[in-house]
Amino acid sequence: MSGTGNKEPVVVVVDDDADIRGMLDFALVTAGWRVVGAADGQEALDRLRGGLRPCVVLLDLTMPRMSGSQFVAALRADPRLAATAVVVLSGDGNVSQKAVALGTDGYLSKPLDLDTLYDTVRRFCP
Amino acid sequence: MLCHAGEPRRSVLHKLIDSMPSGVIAADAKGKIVLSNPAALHLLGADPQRLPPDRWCEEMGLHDEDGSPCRPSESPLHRALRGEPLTGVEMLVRARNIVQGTWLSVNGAPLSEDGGGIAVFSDVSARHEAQLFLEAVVENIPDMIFVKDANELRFVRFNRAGEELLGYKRADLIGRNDYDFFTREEADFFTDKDRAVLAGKKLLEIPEEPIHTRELGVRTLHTKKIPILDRDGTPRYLLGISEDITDRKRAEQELAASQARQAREQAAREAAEEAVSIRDDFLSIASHELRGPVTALQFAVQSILRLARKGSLSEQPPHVVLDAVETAERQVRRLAVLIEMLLDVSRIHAGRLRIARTSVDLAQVARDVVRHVREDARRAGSAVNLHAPNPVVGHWDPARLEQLLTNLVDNAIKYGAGKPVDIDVALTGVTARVTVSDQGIGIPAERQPLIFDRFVRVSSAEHFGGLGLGLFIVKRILDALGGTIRVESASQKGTKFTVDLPLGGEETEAEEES
Repeated sequence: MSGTGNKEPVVVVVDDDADIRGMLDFALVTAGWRVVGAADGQEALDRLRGGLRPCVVLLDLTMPRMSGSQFVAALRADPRLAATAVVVLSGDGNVSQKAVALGTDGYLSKPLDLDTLYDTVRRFCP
Repeated sequence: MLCHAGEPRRSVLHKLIDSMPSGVIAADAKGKIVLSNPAALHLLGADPQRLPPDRWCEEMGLHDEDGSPCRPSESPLHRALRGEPLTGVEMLVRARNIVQGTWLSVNGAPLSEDGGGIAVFSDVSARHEAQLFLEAVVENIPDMIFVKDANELRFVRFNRAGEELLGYKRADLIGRNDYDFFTREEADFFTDKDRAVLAGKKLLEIPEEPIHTRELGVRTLHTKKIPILDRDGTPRYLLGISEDITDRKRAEQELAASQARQAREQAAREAAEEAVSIRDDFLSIASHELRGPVTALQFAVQSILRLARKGSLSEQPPHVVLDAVETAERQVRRLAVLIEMLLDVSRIHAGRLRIARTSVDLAQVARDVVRHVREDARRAGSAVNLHAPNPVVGHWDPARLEQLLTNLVDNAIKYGAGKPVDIDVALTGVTARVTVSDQGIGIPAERQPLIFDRFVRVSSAEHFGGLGLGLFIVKRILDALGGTIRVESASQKGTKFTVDLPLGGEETEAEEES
């Protein structure tokens, strides 16, 4: 679901749960953001290396192929992508500690309120 | 020298008597001392011919064998001199102010038919001391010491510890045998051992033998039986030494019981701690699994609500709204399945996994399952191919069969790496066989034996979520239905589960019989 133009800020949603991906898309697009989904870290990394520059990456942790922490490590190792803002969005019980350990720009704990989601995304994508 | 007054000559006999180391005294029928030798004077400490016999007891300090002062004119000496035959009767001579007296062994014989007698006595103090010492040793040993004669096995000796243990005085015991004091079985046991010791002429150790005592109840003895042989090697006596090990044994048993109890408590504590740890892990995993569908549901519902409140819901493309509602509906179903799984674990744990058997077509169940998972499979990019050309009808529980197949197919899709999943249903003899195969990441060989355990997740927790319950529940359902499951898997090649289910014939027969 894309918005009305290429100037709209892009939010990358990385989650292996297609339903969560779909509903994040629904929630963010209807609020005016553009959304690109990825089913795992590898797919997201490929999109970023392909030139996509999101204002924020909403990142799940537990995923097949490439997990959230592996994605962050690969991102930080790539000078072109190291500055990308990443917010962990996970149902893991220790999400706050894990986010701090990964050095991400924020974290959200599933499940969460739509307003909390919007507030967080707005910090990175005005 | 100390001859009868008026005897003019000294005969050879008199010289002999005077030179003897034993004391000799003779009295005539009237009690008059007619002869005594120097040894008698030496041993008695006074001259018997000068001191009237009725004062001997007091003046010479004569005592009976038991050490008590003799009654006047009743010492063994007096009795011998009255003509009483005596052999080896012992007495003590201890004058006033003298601590240690002299023990005499007295022999007596009549002197003539008219009366009178002769007493011959010698110093046996050394032997007496040795005997007293030995008796004191035996008496004070805290173990029961007994001696039986070798022929009739009657008690001839007993010490104090033996008296206290058995509850009888030695006067009651001496001269009797085991059958006078113990039950027949015990007496038989003791006597058999005695005979074996005497026949074998060897020490016998009985580590534990029970014995009924008179006052202390049943005690346990550790007994050694030793044969006492004469010079010819013939057994004469049987020596027994018995230690009462009842208290020690009880203490050992109590210690062992206490150690066993501590070990049990420790194991229970560890099991409880492990159970708590497993439960904590499980609750953490379960809450993680529940968060996924709740999150999607919340986004869907709140987004629609927000649009509706703004009045802009109708501006959305209809398929977008429909998609959100369908997603919400799917999350509700996911949650219901998860909750059902959790309840199943609870039921299995309580042993209440109920099976309601009825006639079921397994092929039809498989078709239903494939229909239900189609959407998930599509999202995962996997095609699900069912090969079930013929009905396979058995006596099973349709709901449990669907759950079983769903869990297997869900796993195949989840770990199938987007490649096709194949399901085969067929009848082989009296058994239904279902195989579910994927071409996904596979299960490492070392993990394969664990996959049917509770809370075991084969894959890394970093990449795959899940409760770790699907295969556990599958296995328990099969246990209840009498079926089996086996797995073949190779890393990055795929996994194949083969389920064999008896058609439920035994059940049917049982029903027919009843």
